Amino acid sequence: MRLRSLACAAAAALPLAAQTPPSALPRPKPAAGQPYTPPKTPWGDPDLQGLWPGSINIPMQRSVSFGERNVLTDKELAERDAAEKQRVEQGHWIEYYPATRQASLIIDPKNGRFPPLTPEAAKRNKEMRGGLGPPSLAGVEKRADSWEDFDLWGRCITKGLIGSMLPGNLYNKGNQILQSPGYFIIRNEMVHETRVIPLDRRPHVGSAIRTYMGDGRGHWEGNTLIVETTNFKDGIGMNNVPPILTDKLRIVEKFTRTAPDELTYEATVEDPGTWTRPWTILVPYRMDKDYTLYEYACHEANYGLLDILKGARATEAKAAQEKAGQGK
Amino acid sequence: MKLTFSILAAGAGVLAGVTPVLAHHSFAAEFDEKQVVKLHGTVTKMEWVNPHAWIHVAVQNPDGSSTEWMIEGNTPNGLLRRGFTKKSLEPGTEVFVEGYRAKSGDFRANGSSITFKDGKKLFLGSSKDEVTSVPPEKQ
Repeated sequence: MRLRSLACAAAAALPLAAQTPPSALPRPKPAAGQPYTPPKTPWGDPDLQGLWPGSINIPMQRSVSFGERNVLTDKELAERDAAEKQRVEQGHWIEYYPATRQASLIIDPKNGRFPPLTPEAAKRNKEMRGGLGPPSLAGVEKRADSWEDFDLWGRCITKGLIGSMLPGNLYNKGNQILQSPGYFIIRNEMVHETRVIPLDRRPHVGSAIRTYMGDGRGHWEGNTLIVETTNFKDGIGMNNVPPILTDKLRIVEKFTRTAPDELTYEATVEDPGTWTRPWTILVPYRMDKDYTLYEYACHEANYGLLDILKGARATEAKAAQEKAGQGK
Repeated sequence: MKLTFSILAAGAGVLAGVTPVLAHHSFAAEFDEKQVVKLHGTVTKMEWVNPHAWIHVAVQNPDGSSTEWMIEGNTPNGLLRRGFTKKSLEPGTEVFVEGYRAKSGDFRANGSSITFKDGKKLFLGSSKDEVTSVPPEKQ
């Protein structure tokens, strides 16, 4: 794999003692030139089943200063790990994930950054909510007039695709893969998603059918499962990806078990209604057999939404009162 | 109505080392970081609900009445992974709470720390360094 090669090259160039933390050390690999062959299911498919939580600290985008370099130095690795520890210490809710040498999830474009928006998409997104931009966690601080000012995650609906697959959730980062003859099943703990993907080459559902998580179809190419997902709803977002998208969204995912405890996930996202070109992320998942996925019925008591709306009204009332007082 | 809780002006050191937590909603939009509350009361129940658990604490007022505050905590899944269960914080437990009050003016707060009367701290979240500090079964 590209990432493994880069990590290996970086590690070889440095004294072993200087490599910290231990979690970032290279993984055991098969002999040179011998790609790992995963076990097979009883019906002969490569077996990718297991728990693959996103306990990984890799930001979506890379700093501009990195250019095309996607491997951290020892110093940068230590800094990223220290920043994560500090972040966790500041809040009691979030979970700690060890840093890795991969500088950004985005591996294409080569600078590790989102490609430019099309002029139409830039204009459309900029004009949303009266010029405040798309709904987001930060955006709701600027305006909380209605539920429409909250993003899909804040409303407990979904993190979307590929949002549901991204590592580094504040909590509930579990992912599970299950397989049965003719199907590939992916569960995401955040937010309570299950995708059941047929592998029999059947066509996608009709173009009039549109969903938040889209319609996925899978097939094997060697030991890699390719999943193509289309039929997304128009005007939805995906977590950690800023713009609101169009129904031209198409996502191609590649799942490859590259070691007994390692699953390499690549996803290419294209939406010609939003970006000027496709972009690709790479996530190096690690097996965690002890992880348990629990139900996350997010909407059960989403008091936060109500509190934020009530808080905004209380703030307005106070401002109006103060203004009235000044006028006397 | 004068209550036996205090609202302090937020300032350096008031909640040493504690800054607003992150969640799947916006802290800044929901809670007022300038309204630091310190409460002393008794747990009445724990709402073991998603996306975040809420601890209800009865705080006695000078006139003998009591006010029920709701303190927001981590997601139940995260609490469970740290060995914290629904029964870890039983009704009747005496606690000291520090947090930030909701902007709505309701008796709700984001809990930054909960301390038991013996001085032990109960953390509601998931920093690995805090794991050893969780003493719920001992209360």
